[in-house]
Amino acid sequence: MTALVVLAHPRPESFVFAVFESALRGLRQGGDTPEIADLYADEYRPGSALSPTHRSALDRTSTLVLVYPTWWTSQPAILLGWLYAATTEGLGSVKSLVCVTTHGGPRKGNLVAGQSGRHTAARTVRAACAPGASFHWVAHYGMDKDRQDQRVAFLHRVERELALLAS
Amino acid sequence: MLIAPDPNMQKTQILHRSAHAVDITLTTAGHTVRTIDLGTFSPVLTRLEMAAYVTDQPLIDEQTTEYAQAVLNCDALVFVYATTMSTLPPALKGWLDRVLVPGVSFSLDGAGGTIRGLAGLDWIIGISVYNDTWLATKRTYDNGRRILLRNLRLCARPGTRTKWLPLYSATTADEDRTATFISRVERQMSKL
Repeated sequence: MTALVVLAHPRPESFVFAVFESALRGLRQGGDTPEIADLYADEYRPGSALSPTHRSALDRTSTLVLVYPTWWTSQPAILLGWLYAATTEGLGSVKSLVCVTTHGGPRKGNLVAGQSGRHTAARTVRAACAPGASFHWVAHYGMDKDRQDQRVAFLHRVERELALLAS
Repeated sequence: MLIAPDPNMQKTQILHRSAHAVDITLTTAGHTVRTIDLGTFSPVLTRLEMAAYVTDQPLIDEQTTEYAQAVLNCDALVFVYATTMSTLPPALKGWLDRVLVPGVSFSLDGAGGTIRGLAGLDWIIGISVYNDTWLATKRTYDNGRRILLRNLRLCARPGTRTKWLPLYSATTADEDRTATFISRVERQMSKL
Protein backbone atom coordinates (compact mmCIF):
# COMPACT_ATOMS: atom_id res chain seq x y z
CA MET A 1 0.00 0.00 0.00
CA THR A 2 1.08 3.55 -0.71
CA ALA A 3 -0.73 6.36 1.06
CA LEU A 4 -1.07 9.97 0.04
CA VAL A 5 -1.81 12.26 2.98
CA VAL A 6 -3.46 15.54 1.99
CA LEU A 7 -3.25 18.34 4.55
CA ALA A 8 -5.53 21.39 4.43
CA HIS A 9 -4.68 23.73 7.27
CA PRO A 10 -2.74 27.02 7.10
CA ARG A 11 -1.03 26.97 10.51
CA PRO A 12 1.77 24.59 11.57
CA GLU A 13 1.02 25.49 15.25
CA SER A 14 -2.49 24.03 15.00
CA PHE A 15 -3.91 20.85 16.47
CA VAL A 16 -4.69 19.65 12.94
CA PHE A 17 -0.94 19.70 12.22
CA ALA A 18 -0.39 17.46 15.26
CA VAL A 19 -3.11 15.18 13.91
CA PHE A 20 -1.35 15.15 10.55
CA GLU A 21 1.93 14.12 12.21
CA SER A 22 0.11 11.35 14.08
CA ALA A 23 -1.38 10.07 10.83
CA LEU A 24 2.07 9.93 9.24
CA ARG A 25 3.52 8.14 12.29
CA GLY A 26 0.70 5.59 12.21
CA LEU A 27 1.14 4.87 8.51
CA ARG A 28 4.91 4.43 8.93
CA GLN A 29 4.38 2.10 11.89
CA GLY A 30 2.13 0.02 9.64
CA GLY A 31 4.93 -0.30 7.08
CA ASP A 32 3.84 2.38 4.64
CA THR A 33 5.94 5.15 3.09
CA PRO A 34 3.36 7.90 2.87
CA GLU A 35 3.59 10.79 0.45
CA ILE A 36 2.38 14.27 1.38
CA ALA A 37 0.32 16.94 -0.35
CA ASP A 38 0.29 20.04 1.86
CA LEU A 39 -2.19 22.25 0.03
CA TYR A 40 -1.20 25.50 1.74
CA ALA A 41 2.55 24.92 1.52
CA ASP A 42 2.19 23.85 -2.12
CA GLU A 43 0.07 26.97 -2.79
CA TYR A 44 -2.81 25.11 -4.39
CA ARG A 45 -5.54 27.42 -5.72
CA PRO A 46 -9.14 26.15 -6.08
CA GLY A 47 -10.18 26.19 -9.71
CA SER A 48 -6.77 25.11 -10.98
CA ALA A 49 -5.71 21.63 -12.06
CA LEU A 50 -3.65 19.40 -9.80
CA SER A 51 0.08 20.02 -9.93
CA PRO A 52 2.11 17.32 -11.73
CA THR A 53 3.56 16.31 -8.32
CA HIS A 54 0.11 15.83 -6.78
CA ARG A 55 -1.20 14.11 -9.90
CA SER A 56 1.61 11.55 -10.02
CA ALA A 57 1.36 10.96 -6.25
CA LEU A 58 -2.38 10.33 -6.65
CA ASP A 59 -1.74 7.86 -9.47
CA ARG A 60 0.62 5.89 -7.22
CA THR A 61 -1.62 5.84 -4.17
CA SER A 62 -4.10 3.22 -3.05
CA THR A 63 -4.98 5.01 0.20
CA LEU A 64 -6.01 8.66 0.19
CA VAL A 65 -5.93 10.26 3.64
CA LEU A 66 -7.54 13.70 4.01
CA VAL A 67 -6.52 15.65 7.13
CA TYR A 68 -8.49 18.86 7.66
CA PRO A 69 -10.50 20.97 10.09
CA THR A 70 -14.25 20.83 9.58
CA TRP A 71 -15.61 24.33 8.94
CA TRP A 72 -19.33 24.88 8.37
CA THR A 73 -19.74 21.08 8.73
CA SER A 74 -17.65 20.63 5.58
CA GLN A 75 -14.16 20.61 4.14
CA PRO A 76 -12.25 23.92 3.82
CA ALA A 77 -12.62 25.53 0.39
CA ILE A 78 -8.98 24.77 -0.54
CA LEU A 79 -9.63 21.04 -0.03
CA LEU A 80 -12.98 21.12 -1.83
CA GLY A 81 -11.24 22.72 -4.81
CA TRP A 82 -8.50 20.09 -4.76
CA LEU A 83 -11.02 17.25 -4.46
CA TYR A 84 -13.04 18.67 -7.35
CA ALA A 85 -9.93 18.69 -9.56
CA ALA A 86 -8.94 15.21 -8.35
CA THR A 87 -12.36 13.65 -8.93
CA THR A 88 -12.66 15.31 -12.33
CA GLU A 89 -9.25 13.98 -13.41
CA GLY A 90 -9.81 10.58 -11.77
CA LEU A 91 -9.21 8.75 -8.49
CA GLY A 92 -9.26 5.27 -9.99
CA SER A 93 -6.22 4.00 -8.08
CA VAL A 94 -7.71 4.83 -4.65
CA LYS A 95 -9.05 1.76 -2.86
CA SER A 96 -9.35 3.31 0.56
CA LEU A 97 -10.51 6.82 1.45
CA VAL A 98 -9.80 8.10 4.96
CA CYS A 99 -11.01 11.36 6.52
CA VAL A 100 -9.21 12.53 9.65
CA THR A 101 -10.87 15.68 10.86
CA THR A 102 -11.61 17.94 13.82
CA HIS A 103 -14.83 19.74 14.76
CA GLY A 104 -15.35 22.76 17.01
CA GLY A 105 -18.83 21.66 18.05
CA PRO A 106 -20.09 18.38 19.51
CA ARG A 107 -21.04 15.28 17.50
CA LYS A 108 -24.76 15.83 18.07
CA GLY A 109 -24.60 19.46 16.92
CA ASN A 110 -22.79 18.41 13.76
CA LEU A 111 -25.45 15.78 13.09
CA VAL A 112 -28.22 18.35 13.44
CA ALA A 113 -26.33 20.72 11.15
CA GLY A 114 -26.19 18.05 8.45
CA GLN A 115 -22.61 16.67 8.61
CA SER A 116 -22.14 17.66 5.00
CA GLY A 117 -18.40 17.03 4.85
CA ARG A 118 -18.80 13.41 5.85
CA HIS A 119 -21.51 12.82 3.24
CA THR A 120 -19.53 14.58 0.51
CA ALA A 121 -16.52 12.36 1.17
CA ALA A 122 -18.37 9.10 1.82
CA ARG A 123 -20.75 9.40 -1.13
CA THR A 124 -19.43 11.70 -3.82
CA VAL A 125 -15.64 11.46 -3.48
CA ARG A 126 -15.71 7.71 -2.77
CA ALA A 127 -17.87 7.19 -5.88
CA ALA A 128 -14.96 8.58 -7.95
CA CYS A 129 -12.50 6.11 -6.38
CA ALA A 130 -11.94 2.48 -7.46
CA PRO A 131 -15.09 0.32 -7.39
CA GLY A 132 -15.70 -1.01 -3.87
CA ALA A 133 -13.34 1.49 -2.25
CA SER A 134 -13.64 1.57 1.54
CA PHE A 135 -14.36 4.67 3.59
CA HIS A 136 -13.00 5.45 7.08
CA TRP A 137 -14.07 8.33 9.28
CA VAL A 138 -11.74 9.32 12.14
CA ALA A 139 -13.13 12.44 13.81
CA HIS A 140 -12.62 14.51 16.92
CA TYR A 141 -15.60 16.54 18.14
CA GLY A 142 -16.09 19.37 20.62
CA MET A 143 -12.79 21.23 20.32
CA ASP A 144 -14.45 24.41 21.59
CA LYS A 145 -14.45 23.00 25.12
CA ASP A 146 -12.41 19.81 25.17
CA ARG A 147 -9.53 18.98 27.51
CA GLN A 148 -5.87 18.40 26.75
CA ASP A 149 -6.11 14.68 27.60
CA GLN A 150 -8.97 14.24 25.10
CA ARG A 151 -6.84 15.75 22.36
CA VAL A 152 -3.90 13.53 23.26
CA ALA A 153 -6.23 10.52 23.21
CA PHE A 154 -7.36 11.48 19.72
CA LEU A 155 -3.76 11.74 18.51
CA HIS A 156 -3.15 8.20 19.79
CA ARG A 157 -6.34 7.00 18.14
CA VAL A 158 -5.30 8.47 14.78
CA GLU A 159 -1.89 6.81 15.03
CA ARG A 160 -3.43 3.47 15.99
CA GLU A 161 -6.12 3.43 13.31
CA LEU A 162 -3.79 4.53 10.52
CA ALA A 163 -1.22 1.90 11.56
CA LEU A 164 -3.93 -0.74 11.38
CA LEU A 165 -5.01 0.47 7.95
CA ALA A 166 -1.44 0.38 6.64
CA SER A 167 -0.63 -3.08 7.96
CA MET B 1 -27.38 38.03 -3.32
CA LEU B 2 -24.31 35.92 -3.94
CA ILE B 3 -23.47 34.40 -7.29
CA ALA B 4 -20.83 31.70 -7.71
CA PRO B 5 -20.03 31.01 -11.36
CA ASP B 6 -19.51 27.53 -12.79
CA PRO B 7 -17.06 26.26 -15.42
CA ASN B 8 -20.01 24.90 -17.41
CA MET B 9 -21.31 27.66 -19.71
CA GLN B 10 -24.90 26.42 -19.87
CA LYS B 11 -25.20 26.26 -16.09
CA THR B 12 -23.57 29.69 -15.74
CA GLN B 13 -26.10 31.15 -18.18
CA ILE B 14 -28.99 29.73 -16.13
CA LEU B 15 -27.40 31.11 -12.95
CA HIS B 16 -27.09 34.58 -14.47
CA ARG B 17 -30.67 34.50 -15.75
CA SER B 18 -31.81 33.47 -12.26
CA ALA B 19 -29.76 36.22 -10.63
CA HIS B 20 -31.19 38.76 -13.08
CA ALA B 21 -34.73 37.58 -12.23
CA VAL B 22 -33.98 37.99 -8.51
CA ASP B 23 -32.56 41.46 -9.04
CA ILE B 24 -35.38 42.76 -11.27
CA THR B 25 -38.21 41.27 -9.18
CA LEU B 26 -36.89 42.54 -5.86
CA THR B 27 -35.91 45.97 -7.22
CA THR B 28 -39.32 46.40 -8.83
CA ALA B 29 -40.92 45.58 -5.47
CA GLY B 30 -38.94 48.38 -3.86
CA HIS B 31 -36.15 46.39 -2.25
CA THR B 32 -32.46 47.24 -2.49
CA VAL B 33 -30.38 44.42 -3.92
CA ARG B 34 -26.67 44.07 -3.35
CA THR B 35 -25.09 41.54 -5.70
CA ILE B 36 -21.78 39.89 -4.90
CA ASP B 37 -20.20 38.01 -7.78
CA LEU B 38 -17.69 35.50 -6.41
CA GLY B 39 -15.93 35.10 -9.77
CA THR B 40 -12.77 36.81 -8.56
CA PHE B 41 -13.11 36.13 -4.82
CA SER B 42 -10.24 34.16 -3.27
CA PRO B 43 -11.89 31.35 -1.27
CA VAL B 44 -8.80 30.29 0.66
CA LEU B 45 -8.73 31.31 4.32
CA THR B 46 -5.20 32.58 4.84
CA ARG B 47 -2.66 31.84 7.55
CA LEU B 48 -3.16 35.34 9.02
CA GLU B 49 -6.95 34.99 8.96
CA MET B 50 -6.65 31.67 10.77
CA ALA B 51 -4.53 33.35 13.45
CA ALA B 52 -7.06 36.17 13.77
CA TYR B 53 -10.03 33.76 13.86
CA VAL B 54 -9.70 33.18 17.60
CA THR B 55 -9.20 36.85 18.47
CA ASP B 56 -11.74 39.64 19.04
CA GLN B 57 -11.13 40.88 15.50
CA PRO B 58 -11.27 37.89 13.15
CA LEU B 59 -11.88 40.01 10.05
CA ILE B 60 -8.56 41.44 8.85
CA ASP B 61 -9.24 41.82 5.15
CA GLU B 62 -10.96 44.94 3.79
CA GLN B 63 -13.15 43.03 1.34
CA THR B 64 -14.33 40.35 3.79
CA THR B 65 -15.01 43.03 6.41
CA GLU B 66 -17.22 44.89 3.96
CA TYR B 67 -19.03 41.67 2.99
CA ALA B 68 -19.60 40.85 6.68
CA GLN B 69 -21.13 44.30 7.23
CA ALA B 70 -23.42 43.77 4.24
CA VAL B 71 -24.55 40.42 5.70
CA LEU B 72 -25.31 41.99 9.08
CA ASN B 73 -27.34 44.76 7.42
CA CYS B 74 -29.43 42.60 5.06
CA ASP B 75 -32.89 41.08 5.53
CA ALA B 76 -32.46 38.22 3.07
CA LEU B 77 -29.55 36.17 1.79
CA VAL B 78 -30.01 34.71 -1.68
CA PHE B 79 -27.42 32.19 -2.89
CA VAL B 80 -27.19 31.47 -6.62
CA TYR B 81 -24.78 28.68 -7.54
CA ALA B 82 -24.22 25.34 -9.23
CA THR B 83 -24.05 22.40 -6.85
CA THR B 84 -20.59 20.88 -7.28
CA MET B 85 -19.62 17.44 -5.95
CA SER B 86 -22.98 17.40 -4.10
CA THR B 87 -21.96 20.47 -2.09
CA LEU B 88 -21.15 24.18 -2.34
CA PRO B 89 -18.59 25.20 -4.98
CA PRO B 90 -15.24 26.20 -3.42
CA ALA B 91 -15.84 29.91 -4.12
CA LEU B 92 -19.02 29.95 -2.05
CA LYS B 93 -17.72 27.63 0.66
CA GLY B 94 -14.66 29.89 0.96
CA TRP B 95 -16.92 32.91 1.28
CA LEU B 96 -18.60 31.25 4.28
CA ASP B 97 -15.19 30.30 5.72
CA ARG B 98 -13.72 33.80 5.40
CA VAL B 99 -16.71 36.12 5.93
CA LEU B 100 -19.06 34.37 8.36
CA VAL B 101 -16.55 34.22 11.18
CA PRO B 102 -17.15 34.51 14.95
CA GLY B 103 -18.76 37.86 15.69
CA VAL B 104 -20.66 37.84 12.39
CA SER B 105 -22.77 34.70 12.06
CA PHE B 106 -22.22 33.36 15.58
CA SER B 107 -20.32 33.90 18.81
CA LEU B 108 -18.95 31.41 21.28
CA ASP B 109 -20.54 31.63 24.72
CA GLY B 110 -17.41 30.44 26.51
CA ALA B 111 -19.03 27.21 27.67
CA GLY B 112 -18.75 25.35 24.38
CA GLY B 113 -22.05 26.65 23.01
CA THR B 114 -22.78 29.21 20.30
CA ILE B 115 -24.91 32.35 20.16
CA ARG B 116 -26.77 33.12 16.94
CA GLY B 117 -25.36 36.14 15.11
CA LEU B 118 -27.70 36.72 12.17
CA ALA B 119 -30.55 38.12 14.23
CA GLY B 120 -31.84 40.46 11.53
CA LEU B 121 -32.20 37.86 8.79
CA ASP B 122 -35.77 37.14 7.57
CA TRP B 123 -34.98 34.81 4.67
CA ILE B 124 -32.32 32.37 3.48
CA ILE B 125 -32.94 31.37 -0.12
CA GLY B 126 -30.95 28.96 -2.25
CA ILE B 127 -31.18 28.85 -6.04
CA SER B 128 -29.08 25.99 -7.33
CA VAL B 129 -28.62 24.12 -10.59
CA TYR B 130 -27.56 20.49 -10.51
CA ASN B 131 -25.99 18.07 -12.98
CA ASP B 132 -27.86 15.22 -11.29
CA THR B 133 -31.47 14.16 -11.18
CA TRP B 134 -33.56 14.67 -8.03
CA LEU B 135 -33.01 11.04 -6.99
CA ALA B 136 -29.23 11.10 -7.51
CA THR B 137 -29.06 14.38 -5.61
CA LYS B 138 -30.93 12.90 -2.65
CA ARG B 139 -28.67 9.83 -2.67
CA THR B 140 -25.64 12.07 -2.15
CA TYR B 141 -27.44 14.07 0.56
CA ASP B 142 -27.57 17.44 -1.23
CA ASN B 143 -24.86 18.79 1.04
CA GLY B 144 -24.82 22.39 -0.18
CA ARG B 145 -28.48 22.69 0.72
CA ARG B 146 -27.72 21.16 4.14
CA ILE B 147 -25.00 23.74 4.84
CA LEU B 148 -27.23 26.69 3.94
CA LEU B 149 -30.63 25.58 5.21
CA ARG B 150 -29.43 23.75 8.31
CA ASN B 151 -26.05 25.01 9.42
CA LEU B 152 -26.41 28.64 8.34
CA ARG B 153 -30.08 28.62 9.39
CA LEU B 154 -28.94 27.71 12.91
CA CYS B 155 -27.05 31.03 13.00
CA ALA B 156 -30.22 33.02 12.26
CA ARG B 157 -33.12 33.82 14.57
CA PRO B 158 -35.77 31.10 15.07
CA GLY B 159 -38.34 32.87 12.84
CA THR B 160 -36.07 33.09 9.79
CA ARG B 161 -37.72 31.46 6.78
CA THR B 162 -36.02 29.36 4.12
CA LYS B 163 -36.74 28.47 0.52
CA TRP B 164 -34.93 26.17 -1.89
CA LEU B 165 -35.28 26.53 -5.65
CA PRO B 166 -33.50 23.69 -7.47
CA LEU B 167 -33.12 22.93 -11.16
CA TYR B 168 -32.11 19.28 -11.53
CA SER B 169 -30.45 17.82 -14.65
CA ALA B 170 -29.59 21.37 -15.64
CA THR B 171 -27.18 20.44 -18.43
CA THR B 172 -30.04 18.83 -20.36
CA ALA B 173 -32.58 21.56 -19.59
CA ASP B 174 -34.17 22.99 -22.76
CA GLU B 175 -35.47 26.55 -23.07
CA ASP B 176 -38.97 25.62 -21.90
CA ARG B 177 -37.78 24.02 -18.68
CA THR B 178 -35.33 26.85 -18.03
CA ALA B 179 -38.02 29.48 -18.58
CA THR B 180 -40.37 27.63 -16.21
CA PHE B 181 -37.63 27.62 -13.60
CA ILE B 182 -36.95 31.35 -14.03
CA SER B 183 -40.69 32.03 -13.65
CA ARG B 184 -40.64 30.08 -10.41
CA VAL B 185 -37.72 32.20 -9.17
CA GLU B 186 -39.64 35.37 -10.02
CA ARG B 187 -42.80 34.13 -8.25
CA GLN B 188 -40.84 33.27 -5.11
CA MET B 189 -39.01 36.60 -5.06
CA SER B 190 -42.27 38.51 -5.42
CA LYS B 191 -43.40 36.91 -2.14
CA LEU B 192 -40.58 38.49 -0.15
